[in-house]
Amino acid sequence: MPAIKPDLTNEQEVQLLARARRFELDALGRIHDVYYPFLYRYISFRVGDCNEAEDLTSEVFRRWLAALRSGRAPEATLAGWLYRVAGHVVQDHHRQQGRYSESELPDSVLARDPSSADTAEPSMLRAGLHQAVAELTDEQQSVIALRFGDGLPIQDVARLVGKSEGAVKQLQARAVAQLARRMTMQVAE
Amino acid sequence: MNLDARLEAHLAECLQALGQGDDLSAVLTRYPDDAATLGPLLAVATALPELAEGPRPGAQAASRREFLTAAAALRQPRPAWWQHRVGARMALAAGLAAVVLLLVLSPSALPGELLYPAKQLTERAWLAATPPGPGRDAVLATLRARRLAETRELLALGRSAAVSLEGPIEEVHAAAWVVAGIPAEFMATTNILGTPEIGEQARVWGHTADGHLWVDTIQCEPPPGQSWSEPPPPGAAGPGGG
Repeated sequence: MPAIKPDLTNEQEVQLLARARRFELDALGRIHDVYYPFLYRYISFRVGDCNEAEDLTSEVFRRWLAALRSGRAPEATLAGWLYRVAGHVVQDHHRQQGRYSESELPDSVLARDPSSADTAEPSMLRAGLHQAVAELTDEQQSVIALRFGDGLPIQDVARLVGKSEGAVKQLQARAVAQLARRMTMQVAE
Repeated sequence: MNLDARLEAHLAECLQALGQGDDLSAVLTRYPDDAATLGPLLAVATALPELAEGPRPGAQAASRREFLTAAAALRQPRPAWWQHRVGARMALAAGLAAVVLLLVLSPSALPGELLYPAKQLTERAWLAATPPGPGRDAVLATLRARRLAETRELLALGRSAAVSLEGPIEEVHAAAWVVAGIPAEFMATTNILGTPEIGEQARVWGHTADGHLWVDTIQCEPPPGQSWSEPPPPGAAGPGGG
């Protein structure tokens, strides 16, 4: 099962963060290396565009730099802080861009049967799914993105979103049901 | 699609099983009665990982470069603790130096000059810190001598300034009295309090201008058993205490 920060123990992270607060570039670079993939997968899952995902992921790191500069950056572990900032960055992006509009989607997407996902043309299926994901609540999007985008286990997702494992399972199930409903609506329309 | 609690629980369990790597068809066999409902939902769930993308080659490296460039620009070392201490000590030293400078320079200040208020403040503090008795009388005598010296200097310089002084009456004329060797000249508005006697003390509040001491108020020493009244005009300090 994938991890948020592979090859980095909590003790190592504390040391790296202490050096990062002194703006030691090798420590900052190491932390960027560790967290970039996690953040990118989470963000790209939610925004559905690799260029935008790259910009937004970089924005998360810029905000961390600003927090370091102002002395407001976390000292023990970054995962939760970065995840929250990434969530805010995605929300801001959605507000600025507006969510997917159906007019942006090709008709062929809307004609697919969600139960035949395995036979759907991949790019069409992805576009339809991205639209459906974007229409979930922010909380549902986060859980789905962490579970299916980052492939995190329920325990890690629960820790990041600050909910019990049971609550995360319920959120996940409802989000999947909602996605299926959205996909069905796309077909019907 | 609204799920009842039972179906929602089954879906959650199926998602958990899928997440652990179980096959979709195998998962559906666990709930044959709900397979028709759960099947499409789980089909969507199995498609979701298709949305997951790793960073494009080069994108992470480009972000890293931009990030470290920004970090390097922000990397202005904060003052170390000892620099803070040195800064605080320097500020303290500068403050002390300013006070010392005031104390050194202000005794020679004349009425109307920038440092004269500091001189007055110092004298008031000196007087306030001296208990009644011979010591206080000596302080008052010193301050009286200072006022006289200041007035003489202002007159010699021809400067204009408000002054006050106290000294013995040496001469009495219609238009002026000589107090401590200084002619105190009367104006039409001069306020004369008491009757002058040569050799007695008088207090003067007035101003200097062009080498003259013009009197606003002059007060003779009160009879034995009475104390000086205090009628100084606005802006003038008492003759004894600055």
